[in-house]
Amino acid sequence: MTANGKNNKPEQQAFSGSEWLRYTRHIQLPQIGAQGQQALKQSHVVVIGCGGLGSPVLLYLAAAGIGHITLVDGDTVDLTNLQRQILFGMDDIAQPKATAAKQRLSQLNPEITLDAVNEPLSLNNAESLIAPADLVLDCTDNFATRYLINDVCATLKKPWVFASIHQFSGQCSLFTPGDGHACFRCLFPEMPTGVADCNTAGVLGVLPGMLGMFQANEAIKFLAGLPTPLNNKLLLVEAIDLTFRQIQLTQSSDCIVCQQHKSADELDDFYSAACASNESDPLEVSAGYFESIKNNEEVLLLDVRTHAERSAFHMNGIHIPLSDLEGTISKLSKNKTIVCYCQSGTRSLKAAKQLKRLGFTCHSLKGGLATWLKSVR
Amino acid sequence: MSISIIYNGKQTSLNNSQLLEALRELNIKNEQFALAINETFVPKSEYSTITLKHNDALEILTPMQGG
Repeated sequence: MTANGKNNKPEQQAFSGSEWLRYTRHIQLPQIGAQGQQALKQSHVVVIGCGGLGSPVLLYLAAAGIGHITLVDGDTVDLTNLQRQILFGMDDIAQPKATAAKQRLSQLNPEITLDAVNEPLSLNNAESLIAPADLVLDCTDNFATRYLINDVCATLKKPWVFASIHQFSGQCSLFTPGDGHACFRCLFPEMPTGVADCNTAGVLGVLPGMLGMFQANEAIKFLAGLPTPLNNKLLLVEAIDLTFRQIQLTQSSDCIVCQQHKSADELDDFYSAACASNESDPLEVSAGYFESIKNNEEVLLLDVRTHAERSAFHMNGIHIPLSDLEGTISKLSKNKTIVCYCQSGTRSLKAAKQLKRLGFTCHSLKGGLATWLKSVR
Repeated sequence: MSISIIYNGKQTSLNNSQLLEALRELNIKNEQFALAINETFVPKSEYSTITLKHNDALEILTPMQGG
């Protein structure tokens, strides 16, 4: 019976009993209530990146009852991720992140729909993945993908929540294209180069936790129709002195996306230029080859990392930090093949190029110690 | 004319109040930053029109890519 008793069709209910119990603490909030919780249930959110930011974002969005979540990540779980990527455990190592995350989240909340996409966001899939979304969360770890999200969301008029982190610092904002507000390109028009990522610069484990929770907070409020103060504002977080500041954003009059309406397809070269650094250099040797020659008598291993890095772990040989190499080169013998190594292979390649110009026979360990350690474990 | 501003949180004295001159004086050459004055973002296209005032808070925002 309905309330007015006029017919005996079953009365529509927003939630099943188990859903209602699960979301009780939300529904009790006057600002959310059954209506807000139903809005979350009817929302489709696309989370791009299932790493440091994606972990807390996904855990809280799934727990909050976002009805449909698409998880996008082309990476696999690595031991170095577990310091901050709290979605994963030891059993997930080498598994695709999106699938492993989906498994974990479906245990947390079986009431929601989860789609795992085990490939990186690219020009080929971005538009089709983002088009059905009510909201996009940028949890990526690189500029190229972040600009792609910005540009596709601008074209499709999709709101998105941005965050990025570096060591102890973080930034977060809600971009809502089409309402005259700034976009990410208004803020940073050109793709930054030479900016370190978490793999080389290090990052405090709880930092992506903090920023990811700010993202989830804005996302849930946005979808439930609550105030979202980070719209057109940039939140700056410093975890060391625990300061939080907000910068008022404003649209740039010469933004190629907001003003000239360039689409992601037209900006194709822009994204690929950012990824060019992944190409191999002839001076680079693989971890497997490195393993086979590292104990040869005619090979001299050269660690070009800092003193602090070397004191944590090294592989014998000699140690000259990259910054000191130029002044020390004359002391090196040309009778041996010098194999340079560092954390991830960037500094060692610079060192090898420097040595080669001076007539040394030399190589650089591709992917650095991190890749070699994984290959021999 | 010398002017005193707050640059990245520190009281700093400058010889130039024109923003572009001030950036040169502060030795900010890298173009990959965003800039805020008194907690409001200033787009690059407006730099040439800005004159800093006494005690303005000038802040350089650096892009970060981690996640």
